[in-house]
Amino acid sequence: MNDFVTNIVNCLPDLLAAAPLTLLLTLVAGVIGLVVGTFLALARLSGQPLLSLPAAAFMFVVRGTPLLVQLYLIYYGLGQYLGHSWVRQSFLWPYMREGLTFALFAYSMNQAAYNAEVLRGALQSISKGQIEAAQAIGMSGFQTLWRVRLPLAFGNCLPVLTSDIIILLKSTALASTVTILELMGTARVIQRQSLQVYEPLIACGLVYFVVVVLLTALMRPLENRLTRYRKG
Amino acid sequence: MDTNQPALSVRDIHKQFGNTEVLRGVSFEAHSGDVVSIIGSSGSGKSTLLRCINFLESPNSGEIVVGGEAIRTRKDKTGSLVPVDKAQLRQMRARLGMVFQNFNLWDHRTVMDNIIEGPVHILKQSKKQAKEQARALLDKVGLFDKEDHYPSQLSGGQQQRVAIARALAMNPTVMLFDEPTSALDPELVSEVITVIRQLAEEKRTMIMVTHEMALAREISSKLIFLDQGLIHTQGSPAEVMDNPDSDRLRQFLGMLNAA
Repeated sequence: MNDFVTNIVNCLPDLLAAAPLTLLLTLVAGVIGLVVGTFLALARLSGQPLLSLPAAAFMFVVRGTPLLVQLYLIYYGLGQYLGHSWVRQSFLWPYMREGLTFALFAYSMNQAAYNAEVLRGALQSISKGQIEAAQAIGMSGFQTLWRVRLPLAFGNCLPVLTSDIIILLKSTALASTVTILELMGTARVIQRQSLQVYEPLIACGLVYFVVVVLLTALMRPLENRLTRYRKG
Repeated sequence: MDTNQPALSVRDIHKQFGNTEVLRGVSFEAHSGDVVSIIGSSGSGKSTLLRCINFLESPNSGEIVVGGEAIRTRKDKTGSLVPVDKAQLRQMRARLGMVFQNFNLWDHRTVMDNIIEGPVHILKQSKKQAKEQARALLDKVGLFDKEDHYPSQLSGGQQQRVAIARALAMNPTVMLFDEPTSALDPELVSEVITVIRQLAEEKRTMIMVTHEMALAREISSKLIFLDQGLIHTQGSPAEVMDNPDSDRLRQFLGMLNAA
């Protein structure tokens, strides 16, 4: 038993060293996903078929297929294809060859689709009256969006967005399948090197758990501040 | 501006929703300092008329002239009038202070931020100047101590008074009131009426859709009875209410008395 605990503890330094990569994946995909997701939601609600139909199709396909399938398709499919195209000669290729770039792309698009769906609902739930008040005072469409619709929509769906970030964090474990040595990938390496099956996984789970708890603790005050206008 | 120029001219406004003609050619004028109250049973088109003035609804034909300047429009393919120049429409809207039945304060902004939003971001006043003015307006509507509150922390009557202050902060040519007391609990109506009465005494130009007949009689310079999308009767409150000239009007006024 003592050995078991010691083995777990011995895994921790390597895992903690890998944790920043997990956080990087989460934060970059989270931010890009939020920005792209906002544009997707606005396109979806634009009433312009040229914008809303592609947005709806994208959201439907991405949300309707497993993340792992998307990850493989982008890493093996897109990666192979670009490797044989002109992109190979471009200065970007050294970055694009990395699994990380493809993983960031896949996670960002996935997050964008989910955020877009959440934001679409939140934008639709805003009372028409508050938008009319903005128009009646002389605001432009952009001002109405930026100063009234988006702040109210984000306030409405912030709890869902933060829980989606937590889900994203945990789903970055799949990135280990495309050669990325984030938390899960590092745990697999330790498994192979130490021939221990459970200890690296348990240590890995512990680190995820601590990161989730910390992230939640960080988001709570932000959530409270951004929704302080609510009663209670 | 010509002093004889009406502050607001509403000319031959038609509006239909689908096949239903809600407004069938409504015209009236309000000169500076006039209080025009529009009464009529529900479905008579009075709220639609008010919303056509600042183009929250697009009329199908007609013209709106604010302080001598017409809102320039053209017909779109659905047969509604749309503004030719959106910037002009925004300028015109800024001169028409609207107070809604459901207050429509911005939930995510404090009372102060609700009031200075337009002056700062539409009229491009300095924040300092806008805040000074906002405090004076809050004082006027009796809410001097509420500037840091959020709308959800206020009663309906207080929210409506903030909404009036928000509209006044734009220093509008004309104030538009869309049934300003209809969504309020009965005991909160009087605090809002007090503010509206005060504005009338200050000779603010106001167009008010209302069911408050006592208020309409007291403050209006002109009363318009709207029926089935047309102005049925207009005149001074005494002319309209004391000597109803038709069965339709007598019936409407009778219903109110019975209620």
